Amino acid sequence: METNAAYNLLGLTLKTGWKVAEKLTKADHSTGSFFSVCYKVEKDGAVCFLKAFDFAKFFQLSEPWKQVVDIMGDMITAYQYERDLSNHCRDKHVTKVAFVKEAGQEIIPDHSISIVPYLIFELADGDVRTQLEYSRKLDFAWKLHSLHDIAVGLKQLHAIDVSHQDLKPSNILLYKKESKLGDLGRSICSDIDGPYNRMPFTGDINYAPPEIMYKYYDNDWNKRVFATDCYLLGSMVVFYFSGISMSALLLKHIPENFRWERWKGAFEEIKPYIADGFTKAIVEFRENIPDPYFKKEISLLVEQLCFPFPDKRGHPKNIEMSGSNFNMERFVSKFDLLKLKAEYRTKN
Amino acid sequence: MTTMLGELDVPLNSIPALDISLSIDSYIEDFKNNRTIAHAGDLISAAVVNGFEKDETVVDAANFILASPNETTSTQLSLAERIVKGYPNSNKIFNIDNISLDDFHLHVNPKKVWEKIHFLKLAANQFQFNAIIWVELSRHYSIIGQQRQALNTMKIALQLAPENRFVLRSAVRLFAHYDDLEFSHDILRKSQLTNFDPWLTSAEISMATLRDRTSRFMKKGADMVASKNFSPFSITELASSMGTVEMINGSKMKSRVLFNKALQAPNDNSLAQVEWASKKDHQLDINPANFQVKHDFEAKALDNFKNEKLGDALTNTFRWFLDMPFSKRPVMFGSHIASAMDDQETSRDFLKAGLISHPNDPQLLNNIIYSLALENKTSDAMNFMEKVPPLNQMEKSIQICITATRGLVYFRTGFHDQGRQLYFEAIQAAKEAKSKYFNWLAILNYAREELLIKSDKVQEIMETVASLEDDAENLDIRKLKKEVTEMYEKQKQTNR
Repeated sequence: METNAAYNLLGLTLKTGWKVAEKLTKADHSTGSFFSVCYKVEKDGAVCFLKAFDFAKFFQLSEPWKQVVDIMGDMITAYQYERDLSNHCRDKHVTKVAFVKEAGQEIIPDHSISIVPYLIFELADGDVRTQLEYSRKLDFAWKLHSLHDIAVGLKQLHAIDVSHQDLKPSNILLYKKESKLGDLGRSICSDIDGPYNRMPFTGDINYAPPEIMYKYYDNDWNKRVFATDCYLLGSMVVFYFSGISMSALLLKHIPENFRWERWKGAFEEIKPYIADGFTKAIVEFRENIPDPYFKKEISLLVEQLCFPFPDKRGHPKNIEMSGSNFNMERFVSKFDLLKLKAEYRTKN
Repeated sequence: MTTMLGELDVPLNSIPALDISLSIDSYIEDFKNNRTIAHAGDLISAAVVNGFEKDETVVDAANFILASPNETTSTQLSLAERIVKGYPNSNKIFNIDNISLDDFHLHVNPKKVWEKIHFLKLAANQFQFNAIIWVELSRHYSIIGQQRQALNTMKIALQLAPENRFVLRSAVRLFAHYDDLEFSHDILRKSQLTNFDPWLTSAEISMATLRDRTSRFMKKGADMVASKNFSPFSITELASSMGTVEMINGSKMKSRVLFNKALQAPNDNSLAQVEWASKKDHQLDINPANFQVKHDFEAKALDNFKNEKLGDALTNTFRWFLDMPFSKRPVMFGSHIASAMDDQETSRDFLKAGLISHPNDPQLLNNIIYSLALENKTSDAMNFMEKVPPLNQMEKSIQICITATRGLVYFRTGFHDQGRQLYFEAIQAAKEAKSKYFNWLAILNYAREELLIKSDKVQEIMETVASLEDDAENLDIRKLKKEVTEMYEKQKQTNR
């Protein structure tokens, strides 16, 4: 892999004027994509993050029966899509997302695939995993502040019909005190015809909601994609306070015979077992929060956000009322309140 | 527990491969570059979701978490432990197979049931969507004999999950337990799943048989058994329930074929069914020990008893009771075996355990009083006597038993005439009811009491005893007759 062109940008000054100063280890400051190599770049005193698309790796890992032109087309589409979607969000005044500052491509000679498209982002301090600590002195205020930022980010995206779909710890980027959503590469937008719009789930399967794992999802695009984001936000809450994902916690409490890769029956039939696993997961999750007030409030949030069946997921008041069940507004308010309470308690 | 037995799996033969390509490579790479607790947590999460728990780096990440217990969460620690030490063996959780009679009072404790109910009520209130909690709550109510609560909570579970095998089978069993066979049957007849799920089809056929009806699912059941779409374990109960129907209809050949099919991969229910059938058809002679069946305590107990291995029978009956604490059958059977072994205390323990789910049950109370009186614990016996409901509220056979037992208590408290009078009433009532068993039982018990007080009625009653056939098929009758006869012979020798 190291011989691929994308790995050999260090020391170069790109046509866009950026000097490639340092190669970053994966996930150090990255936005997550597995088909990319990350660098620190500098221009006019500004230090940024460069995500170089590794076309060669994409080729190596593509299905062997696929035509080269098709693979090339897929890769270019993915690159253009991330760039265009980022610009779309920026133009629509989204603030809690790590945008593409610049996009370009570089030719690195003497490689089988010499073209290296790249995207430049503002350099983050790291992803959330570099900051999260689980010791007894839990920094509730910080965690809730970050979760509030994520909820605001999702709300902003949803307001312009964009669903992130790939919310996971490695995609939460830290910029001093602010958390932003990174990697729009797997996001989908009803206004932009992207490569993933017709897929039931475009994010990381390791964080996918149960309905996706059990292959039971709504055909309605809006319901499906926003239900997914809702679950993913809840899963982030679980990760922030318990240190594992909601899907892992849920599977921990589902008997082996009913695991998603083994189950062949109808989703309706397995629902009671998933509901029971979910109950146990929530009970276990609570044990990670010592403060009774936060224990109650945060586990209730997780219960609403991660409810395993999309038709009952979301805030109860939203479910009762007309409009989307997955409206983030109430959750944003709740995180805001919890954040303030935690800050108040920290100060006093 | 049912999950562990595999009875809730999809009954089909093959398990398809999932068509999602899975990888945790990026998580492994992240952890290798950033050895933090958060990265380790992220990696083990991905591994659990994808089934990569045995990967070398995943185990390394789990050990990394375990090495820093003060910097991790309880959930991370617990998941990491599962990865390093493997999934907890279900046997370690609660394995009835290893429980002996010495643990009787440890496991039979109504206080524990009440505590569990308290916990389940809170959980049901908080997680109202969880049908399994409602089923569990209902089961615990049934254990302590709270019928109304048990039925109401089960109805909630049915509303929440009307098309789920576990809920449907639990509901059917509960309503049948409380003798509402019609509602039990209706639940199954109305469920769509009964058309496709052999576990429910078999339950429907059993319910129809109990109600002396012809099941409209017999043809469907036959198709399921004949098809190769189901694993042998999935159709074991269906084959055994259909075999029972054929046996009742007199088609022994057909029933044998079905019972043999059921024995290909039996579970506790089908094995007990075939064990029962083997008493009617000796060509079906089976030994439960030859089958690797989980929770086949009933079948083992019946087989032990048949072979007069009373100690083993008693232990397996206790395990059968722990498996079905709401059922009266293991209680009566356990008490009966212990009594036959002259272990009155254990006999009473079973009966008292039965009173938890069947408070003031006259049959259980009668047997406790009988057992206490035999040991001359008349004061305790009188205390239980006060709990016996009026005779007109019970079956004729129980009325006969209660009358005779009252006679016994009178004898043991020195009121011989009253005791004699009650025994006469019981003997006469049994005769009128044409119950040879109760008639002989009353005669033998009465004879023993006359012998014990060395009354002048001994000669007369012993002539009646002598007229009783020797080959009585009931163990207790045989045993009692032997005892009484020996007492009489001994007394005659002493008198000479």
